[in-house]
Amino acid sequence: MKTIACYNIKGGVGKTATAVNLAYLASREGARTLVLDLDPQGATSFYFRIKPKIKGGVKKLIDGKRDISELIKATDYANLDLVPTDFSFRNMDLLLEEEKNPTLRLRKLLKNLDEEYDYAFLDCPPSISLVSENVFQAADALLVPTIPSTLSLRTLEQLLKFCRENKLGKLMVLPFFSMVDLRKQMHRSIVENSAGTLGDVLRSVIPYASEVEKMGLKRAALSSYAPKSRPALAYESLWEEIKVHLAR
Amino acid sequence: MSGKSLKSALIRKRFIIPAGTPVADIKTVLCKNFHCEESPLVTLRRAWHDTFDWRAFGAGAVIETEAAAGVSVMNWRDLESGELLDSIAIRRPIRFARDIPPGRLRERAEPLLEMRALLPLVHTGGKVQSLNVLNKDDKTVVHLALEDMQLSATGKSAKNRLPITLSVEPVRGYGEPFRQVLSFIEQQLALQPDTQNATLRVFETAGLLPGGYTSRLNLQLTPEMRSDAAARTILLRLFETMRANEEGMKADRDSEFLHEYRVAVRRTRSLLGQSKEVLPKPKLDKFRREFSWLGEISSPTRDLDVYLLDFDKFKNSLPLPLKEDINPFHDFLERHQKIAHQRLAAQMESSRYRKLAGDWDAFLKSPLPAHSSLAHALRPAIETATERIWHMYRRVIKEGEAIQPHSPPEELHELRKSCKKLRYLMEFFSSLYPQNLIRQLIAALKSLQDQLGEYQDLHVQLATLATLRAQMIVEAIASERMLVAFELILQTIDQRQKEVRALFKTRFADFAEAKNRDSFAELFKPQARS
Repeated sequence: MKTIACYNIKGGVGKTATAVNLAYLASREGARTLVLDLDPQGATSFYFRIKPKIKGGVKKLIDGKRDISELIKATDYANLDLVPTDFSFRNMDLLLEEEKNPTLRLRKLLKNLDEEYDYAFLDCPPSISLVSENVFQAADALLVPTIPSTLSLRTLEQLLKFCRENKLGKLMVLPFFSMVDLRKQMHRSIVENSAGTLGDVLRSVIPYASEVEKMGLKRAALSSYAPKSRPALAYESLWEEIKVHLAR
Repeated sequence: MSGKSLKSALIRKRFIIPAGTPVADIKTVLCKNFHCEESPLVTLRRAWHDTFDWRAFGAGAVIETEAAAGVSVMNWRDLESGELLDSIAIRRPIRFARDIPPGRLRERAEPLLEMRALLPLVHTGGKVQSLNVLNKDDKTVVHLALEDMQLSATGKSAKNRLPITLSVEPVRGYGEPFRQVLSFIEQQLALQPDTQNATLRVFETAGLLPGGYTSRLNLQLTPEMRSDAAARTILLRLFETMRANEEGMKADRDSEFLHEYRVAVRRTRSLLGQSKEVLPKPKLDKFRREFSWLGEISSPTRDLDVYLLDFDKFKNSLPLPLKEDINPFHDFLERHQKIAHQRLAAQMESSRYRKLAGDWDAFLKSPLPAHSSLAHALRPAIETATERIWHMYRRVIKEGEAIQPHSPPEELHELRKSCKKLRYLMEFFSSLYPQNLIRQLIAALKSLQDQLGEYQDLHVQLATLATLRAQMIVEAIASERMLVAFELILQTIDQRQKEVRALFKTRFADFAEAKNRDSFAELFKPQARS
């Protein structure tokens, strides 16, 4: 199983849309796919029409008294399952702190699913915390949706620095430009000049588009209702690129 | 593993719609009591597939294809539970495992099916009405399907009708709604659960017996039966196997039809060779001649089949830069195999073949003579069998012990023939002896046979490949590069043949060890005359 985390300390950059849409594309190809909604805001769970509730709350998940399998729910899409979030996830950091090897808990939980799924997508809360450290330790690839603005690039630089300093060399950090508006000069200039800098910035660019915003109304994956739209095709291209990186 | 077992705690349940109850009524009641989303009615065609020797069935699997609205999928299910284990979209008919698009399903199929063709066995067609039960968030929490599927290409007689069914499929993580729907169906609708295995029901209704063909002998002889009756019983069973494979052979569905046919012919010839004074001499002479003819006419095709099956192995034995150079050889093999097969198929339509089959059938089913001048015809089978087996065993030991490291290949080939005769005899008459013991001895013999068999095959390969190479040169399809690749293959085979030769001493010693000697003596040694 390959674990792909969608992460950025900044909110509102397209993490959830990315996690949901890529997971959908993977499942459509026949890959057994799991999404984990780690963000207590519960947008991913909302998109999949699944209640952001787990019995016993986050405590039961972290302390190992419940097998993560018990929490899995099937979405309306074939080969695509979800571990929904719960509002108690806002306290996940506190619970993790009490564990032995606090940064490895998530990795351990996911290990049990290794034979059952081909991909696990993690939708991460926007923060830098023990939860994010767990994500860094559990993931094979870290997708970082980045808005092409100066401040966003600074944040990305900080993340890359953090990874270097904390011996996270094995983690494949894959930034890509998200919510791109090529009418804006700054967006254009940053996207065009990014090649070769900023580590492995992916070539696929996800445009800002109303079709993506409609996911909240439709409560569905983008490619399921607007498969030929520009952003849908952009996500397909992004997914192809990611698969190539994962295969290395 | 833990995740899987929890998942299967919620298992699809099926119910029978009583004959005469309109499907529309059931649908209406369900939609009235549950928030349902109705899918458009689908016209579906289903087919079930397996190899001629029922490999999928034997492995507890069901291979089915479904087609609706121009889209086809192949499904791999567990036979007993009906659980869908893998599924893949297909764009063209699947004949062999290698035709399946790459993925998990193909990974399951290839080692099981090997070179055998997938034959379409049963077809059904009809309509499926899907209903999704939705929760307050309009999420699907239970899948319902009303299926009216009937056997294709049959009359609509009551005998061949399949029941109309209602399937209730759970959605993982939504056990409660699943239980509610089941409860409603069981109590309010009062539908009977479908207790039959749906796949087996389709086969049964179509008059098919899964696992009905096997090339195993499965003979039950009795010790006191007449030797000639025993011989005929065995020969009839072998003839049955030959007949069963004829159609597949003529159509060249896969290489194994011809292979199993030839094995039956070989065994027949072997038994005929051991039936002196059991069956009448004129018959023996005639049929030995005719079966020898069968062996001859089928050899060219089989040889080419084997090279085609081994082609990938040859290719892989070559270093990477030379691998593709051998491809013209494949085309050559295919071309010649088609020609050889056409000749064989023509021979099987000939009057000589028809006469042989008719005469053989008539002879084997003719009444047994009340008296016989033949020395062993009326003897109890156990006596004749034991005598022959012991005699052949002694020959194997004698020939084997005579072989030294410097002995020529011909001596090993002779020993191989004797081992084969011994093996066939033991298999023909195994029902007359204690099962465990004779099985052990056959296994011990097999180990020696495998080494001798490989050794001879390699020799034959060296000779035949040289001939084929000459032929390719004549046909002007042998490029310089291909000849280089070919030479390398021949060298690899020659090297292997030396390695296999060196194995003989230990293999024979294992076979001839005291434990086996004692067992053979216990079963087959003639009792000392008092």
